[in-house]
Amino acid sequence: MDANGNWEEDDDEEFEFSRNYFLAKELASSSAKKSKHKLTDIDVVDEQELRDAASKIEPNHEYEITLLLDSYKTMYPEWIFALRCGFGLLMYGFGSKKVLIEDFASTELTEYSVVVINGYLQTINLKQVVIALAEVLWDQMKAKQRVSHRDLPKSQQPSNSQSMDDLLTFLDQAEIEDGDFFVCVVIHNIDGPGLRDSETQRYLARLAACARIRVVASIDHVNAPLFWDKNMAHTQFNWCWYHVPTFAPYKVEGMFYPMILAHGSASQTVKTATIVLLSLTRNAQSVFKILAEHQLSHPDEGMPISDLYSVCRERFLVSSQITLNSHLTEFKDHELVKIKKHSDGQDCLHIPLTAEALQKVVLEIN
Amino acid sequence: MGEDKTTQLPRRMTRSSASSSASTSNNVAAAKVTCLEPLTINDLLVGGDPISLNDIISSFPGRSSQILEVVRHLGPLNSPILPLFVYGSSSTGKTSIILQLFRHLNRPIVYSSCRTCYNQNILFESILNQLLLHRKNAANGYSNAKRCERPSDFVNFLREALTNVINNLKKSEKLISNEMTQGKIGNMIYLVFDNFQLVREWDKSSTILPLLFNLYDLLNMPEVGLIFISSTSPDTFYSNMGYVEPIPIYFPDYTEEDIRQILLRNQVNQKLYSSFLDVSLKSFCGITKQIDHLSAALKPLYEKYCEPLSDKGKGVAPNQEMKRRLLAHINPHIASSLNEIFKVSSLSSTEVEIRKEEKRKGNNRRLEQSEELGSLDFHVSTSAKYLLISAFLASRNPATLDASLFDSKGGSDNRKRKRKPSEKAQERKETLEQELLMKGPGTFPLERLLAIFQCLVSVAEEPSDEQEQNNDGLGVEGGNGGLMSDVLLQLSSLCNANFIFKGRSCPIEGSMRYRTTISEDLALKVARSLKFPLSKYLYRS
Repeated sequence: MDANGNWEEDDDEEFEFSRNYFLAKELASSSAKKSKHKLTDIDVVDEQELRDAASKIEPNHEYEITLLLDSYKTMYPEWIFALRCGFGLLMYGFGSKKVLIEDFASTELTEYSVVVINGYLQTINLKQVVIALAEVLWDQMKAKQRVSHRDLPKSQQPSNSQSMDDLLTFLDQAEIEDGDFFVCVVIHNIDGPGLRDSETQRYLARLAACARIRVVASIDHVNAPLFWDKNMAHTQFNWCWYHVPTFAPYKVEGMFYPMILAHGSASQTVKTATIVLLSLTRNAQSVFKILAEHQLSHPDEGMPISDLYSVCRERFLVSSQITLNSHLTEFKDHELVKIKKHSDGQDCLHIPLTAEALQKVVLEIN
Repeated sequence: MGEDKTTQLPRRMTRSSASSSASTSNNVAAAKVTCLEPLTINDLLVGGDPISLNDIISSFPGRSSQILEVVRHLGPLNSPILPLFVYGSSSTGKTSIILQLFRHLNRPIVYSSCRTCYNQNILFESILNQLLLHRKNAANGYSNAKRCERPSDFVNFLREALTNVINNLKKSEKLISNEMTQGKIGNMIYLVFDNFQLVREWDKSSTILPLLFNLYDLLNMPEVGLIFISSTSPDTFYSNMGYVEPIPIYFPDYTEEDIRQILLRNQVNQKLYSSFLDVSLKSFCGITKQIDHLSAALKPLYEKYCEPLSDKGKGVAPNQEMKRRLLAHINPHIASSLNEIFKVSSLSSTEVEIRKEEKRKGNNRRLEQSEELGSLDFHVSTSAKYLLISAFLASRNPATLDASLFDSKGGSDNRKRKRKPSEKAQERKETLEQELLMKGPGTFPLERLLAIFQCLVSVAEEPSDEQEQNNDGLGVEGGNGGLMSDVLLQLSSLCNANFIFKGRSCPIEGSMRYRTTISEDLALKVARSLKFPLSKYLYRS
C-alpha cells in the first residue's frame, strides 16, 4: 500500500506541469470574459513612502533561516575543494544568495584574489572586469618572475586598448609557477539584466574556461540554463550545481527594478522603456527611433509634431496624421513622451530620458 | 615637350637593343629592359591579332543583331557616344562580345569588373591604375598609383588622368599618322564596368550608384565613353537622382539552334558531335540554357558516347546503324547526367566515371538502408531526441489540440461531447489542414514545448532505458531539477545546431518563441529510432 501510494503521488506530481499548462490554455480560450479593472484605478503612493512601508515588514521564521544559513557553512570546505579541482560553483534556490556567497568568499577565499560582479545591475562593463583580472595575473607573474630572475614576458601589460580576445588569450595562457594559484570571480545573478545577451554569456564562459580563473555564480530565473548549451555548461563553466535556498528577501537585487505601485518616480529607466517599446509594432518602434535620434541630435529643443509627421511620411512609417496620433497617444499613455510648448507656441515632443539612457533604448530596439 | 621625350624613351631603347650585335651581355640587358619596360598607351588596347567584324559575327552565333547594334552605337572613330547599358542573363556573351569588338575596333578601354573590385575603393583604384599606366610590383610595395577613398577625389583624379591619356592619344595619333600607316586608335577612351549589378549591394546610402551613372554628366568629356554590363535589367537599378539614361542593349537567351552551333564549334568530328547533340541537346536545354553549364555537362557524356568507337570519334562519319548503336549505349546515362548539371566536379574525367559507378552502388545501398533501418546521420542523446520530436509536434500541430492529444487525464471536467462532423465540416477541415501544411511550421512558446516534452517522456518511460538513466544522472542531483536544467541545456544545444530556431537573442526576457524546420521524414526517423509512435500524434483530418 505504501509503495502504491508513493507511486501514484509521484505520477501526479510529474504530470502537474503539463496538465496545468493545457488546462490553463483551454480555459483561456473558452472563457470570453475579461477583467474590466485597470492598473490606473489603483491608488498609488509615493515611492519613498512605499519603500518605508516595505522596510518595516518583520520577517517570519528568523530562527529557522539562521539555522539554515549555519548549516550551509558546513559545506564551505566542499565548495573550496571543488574550486581547487577546477569546477565552477553555481548556486540556485529560493531566496537571495548574495549574503551567503559573500560570507563564503570572506571566510574561505582569503588566500585568493576575488573579483565581484553584481549581475543584478542594469549595465555591466565586462571588459573592465577582464582588465582587472588580467592586471591581477600580471602582478602575480611579475612577482614570481623577479624571484627567479627571468625576463619579463614579451606580451604587453593589460590595458584598455587591447581587444577582448587578446585579454582572454592572455588570461588563458598566463604561466604561473604556483600550481594552486587562481583568481576567483564571484558573479551575483549571472542571469541578471546586465549579463543577459548571448555575447556576454559567451565571454563569461571563455573566462571561466581560463586556467587560472574560477567562477562562483548564482542564478534566480527558472529558465536560466537556456543561456548555455551543453558545451558551455559542462566544459567551459564546468558547473557544480548546489541547491541552497535561503528564503532571504531580494532587498539589494530588487532595488534596481521599477516599482509598479510607485507614483511620480524619477525619469523612467532604460528597462521600462525598452519593455514597453518591444511590445509595440515595428512601425511604432521606428517612429520612436526618429524622435530619439532627433532628441540626441538637438538636446535642447523638442521635435515639432509636423516635422515628425513629415519624416514618418518620407520613410513610409505612417500613412496619415491619425495613424501618427495613435502612436503618440500610445507613447503618452506609457509616459514615453511629453508635450511641451515651444517658444513660438508650437507643440513639441520630448522624451523624458537622459541622453545616455536614450542611446541605450535605441540600441535595445535595434 | 617633356612628355614627348618620356614617350619616346622606350622606342629608342628598343631600337638600340635591336641594332646592337647579338652578344650575351646585350641579350641579358635587352631581356631586363623588356621585363621592366613600363606600361604604355598601347596597353589600354585589348591586344591580339586584328580581327574582322565578320569573324566576330561568325564566332558568336545568334548575336549578329546585337553586335551590329553595339557597333552602330559606338560609331566611327572619334565619335562621342551616350552611355551604353548591356544587359542579359548569365553566359549570353555580353563581356566576350564587348571585348572582341574593342579588339576589332582597336580602341583603348579601361575594363573593371565589379566582382573582383568588390567595393568602392578597389574599383576607384583599379580604374586609376589602368589610366595612369601603373603596375603594382615589389618596387612600389604593391601600392596603388593614387590613394582614393572618397567619390569626389575619384572624380577629380579621374578627370585629370583622362585628360592626360586623351592628350597622349592625340599626340601619338599625330606621330603614328606621320610615321606609319598602321590602323588608328583614335582619341576616344572607353570605361567598361562589368558585373555592374553587384554595385547595388555595396553601399547602404547608395552613393556609388548615382555617381557611376552620373559620370557622363560629371566628367562632361566627349572623348570618354561609358559601358555598363549587367546581368539584371536597368529597372532594377533604383536611384532617386536623375541622370542621363543609358541606352539599353538586350542580349536575349540563346535558342536551341544557337546553342547547337556554339557547341559544334571547335569539335574535331562535326558529324559525330552533331548526331550526339541530336539525342541529348533537347533534354539538356530543358534544364538550362546557359552555355557554360551545358558545355561542362555534355563533355563527359560525349566521351562516354564515343566509347564504343575504336578511334574515340576522331575521323569516322557515323552511319545509320552506328548511330542506333551509339544511341542505345548512351541512353541510360542521360538521365543521371541531367541531375548532375549544376554540380561542380574537381575530379579528372577518368575518375568521374569511376565515381559515377560507385555512386550508383552507393545509391542502392542508401535506399536499402533507409527502407530497413531508418538510420540517423547524427547522434544525440535520448532526451534530445524526445525534445526534437516535441518541437516538431509543437510546430506542426495547432495549439488547440494539445489537451486532447497529450493530456491522458482528459482535460477539463466539463468538456462537451463532439458531434459527428457533416460533409461540409469535413471538407472545411481538410482545407484547413492543407493550408496549415502549406504555411509551414508555426511558432510555440517554451512552456508548450516543455509540457509536450513531459507528456512524451512519461509515455515512453514505461520501458526503462539505460541511456535515459544515464541522462538522469547528469546535471543536477534530484530528478525534477535535473530534468529541467538538462532539458534547457539541450534545448540551447539544439538551437545552436540549427534544429530549432529561437525568436530573439535573450532567452529569458519577454515571451520567447521557438520554431523548428525539420522535415517530417527526419522526425519520423528520430521517432523510429526511439520506437515512438509519432504518427499517432500528428494532426490529421
